[in-house]
Parts: sequence; structure tokens; C-alpha cells
Amino acid sequence: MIPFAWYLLIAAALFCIGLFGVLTRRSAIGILLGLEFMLNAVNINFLAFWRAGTMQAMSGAVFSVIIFAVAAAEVAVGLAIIISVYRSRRTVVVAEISDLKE
Amino acid sequence: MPLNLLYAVFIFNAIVILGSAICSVTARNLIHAALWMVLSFFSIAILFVFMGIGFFAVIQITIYIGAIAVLILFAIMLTRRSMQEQEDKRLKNVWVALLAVGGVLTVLVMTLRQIPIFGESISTTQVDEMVPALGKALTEPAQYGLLFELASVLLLAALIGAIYLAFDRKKAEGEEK
Repeated sequence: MIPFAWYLLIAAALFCIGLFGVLTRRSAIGILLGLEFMLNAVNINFLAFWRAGTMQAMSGAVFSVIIFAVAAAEVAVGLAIIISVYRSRRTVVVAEISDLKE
Repeated sequence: MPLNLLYAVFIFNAIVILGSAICSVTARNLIHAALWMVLSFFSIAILFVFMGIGFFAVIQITIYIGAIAVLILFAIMLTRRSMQEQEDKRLKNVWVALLAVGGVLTVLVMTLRQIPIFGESISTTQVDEMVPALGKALTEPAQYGLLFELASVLLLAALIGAIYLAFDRKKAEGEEK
């Protein structure tokens, strides 16, 4: 028997670490890396709440499976955009990719 | 397994998860960051085993480590030249980020403490009988069948979008001529 609170606290801490990565990284790939941690923390939360309940309703597990699919799609498109930008600009540093702002 | 040993293993695993995640977001070299991320994801799979849902531990390893981490490693290697000039530069606005993260963490913990089942425990017994139920729930039109179809359309769109974006149009035209 593991206290339910421990799972929630690990997930909260992991989410915050991911947020820190998103806020401080210079390269777009580093930001994507932090995003993966945030998605994974949400996944831990979904599964912990589902497991703590009666497990009769499958919604927690179903949403977690959907998050897996969305994370895979997100990283595929995100990295394709980064490589496409790298090809034309020769950089992956987000501060230097500001053409839409100017 | 005696309870004290179980707690010790769980806490060790939790330290590995959070420690490798911190190393991953602060590592200067992006390749090191990706490898720390793999360690963290593997420990999260062990966390799922602790919850008794080994099926999700397998999904975690195949999708997050097998697909996502490898894809990120590929992207890092393809764009390496750009980052090597940047490597000596430190992370930007660390203090603002720490402040924001501290705020989010406090709010999260305060909110989590309000949950009525916060003090309960989760059993570590494996519940493999839920896998067929999950499969049925995902394909039954009355339950989550629509969500399942939407996810497959999303994956198809991501596939086509990734090919379209990464396709080098100028080079392909040049080769045709």
C-alpha cells in the first residue's frame, strides 16, 4: 500500500520541473523536452486517480491513452517544424526566430 | 514484500524520477538532456508498476522511450551545429522561472490537499483484468469509440503534416531538373 498523496506530489513536482524547462530553455527542442515532462506528469495524475477509484469507469485510462497518442503526434509535428525552420534559418534558438513578430 | 522495503524502493524511484528530470532541464548539452529524460521516463514506468497497472508501464516504455525520446535524439543530432555555438550560454531568466514555478507548485499542493481521498493509499496488486475492459471501452461506439477514431485521425494528420513540413521542396525540384 502506497499513500495516494505521494503519487500526486511526484506528479505536481514533475509538472513544475517541466514548466521550468519550458521557461528557461533557449532552443526549441529543449522546450519540447520540458513539454514532454509536463504531459507525463498529467498522465501520472490521470492514472493515479483512476486507480484510487473503483476502476469501474474507464475514463481515466482512456484519457491517458489519448494523451499518449497526442504526445506522439505533437512531438512528430513539432520536430518537423523545428527541422524545417532549421533548414531555412540555420538556428533552433527561439529568440532568433521572430519573423512573425516584426 | 515487507512494507518498509516497499516504501524504500518507492522513495528511491521517486528521487530518480525527479532528480533525472531536474538534470534533464538544466543540462547544458541537449544530448545529455535527452538521455536524462530517458532515465526519468523509465522510472515513471516503474511508478506505473507500483500502481499495479503494468500495461501502462509497457506503453510508457514503447511510446515515450521507444518513439518520442528517439525522435528527439534524432532532431538534436540533425540541428547540432546551431546549438554548439550556443552551448556556453546559460539558461535564460532562471529567477523569474523559479518564481513562477514556485507559485504554481504552491497552488498545486494547496489544491491537492483539498481532495477528499488525499489521505488514502493505493494497493500495489496488479490489475491485469482491466486491459480487456479498456479495449472494450475504447472501441465501443456508446463509450469512447468516437474519441478513439478522433485519435486515429489526429495521428494520420500528424503523419502527413510531418512529412509535408520536413519535405525539402527546393531540393526535390532541383533533382527533377
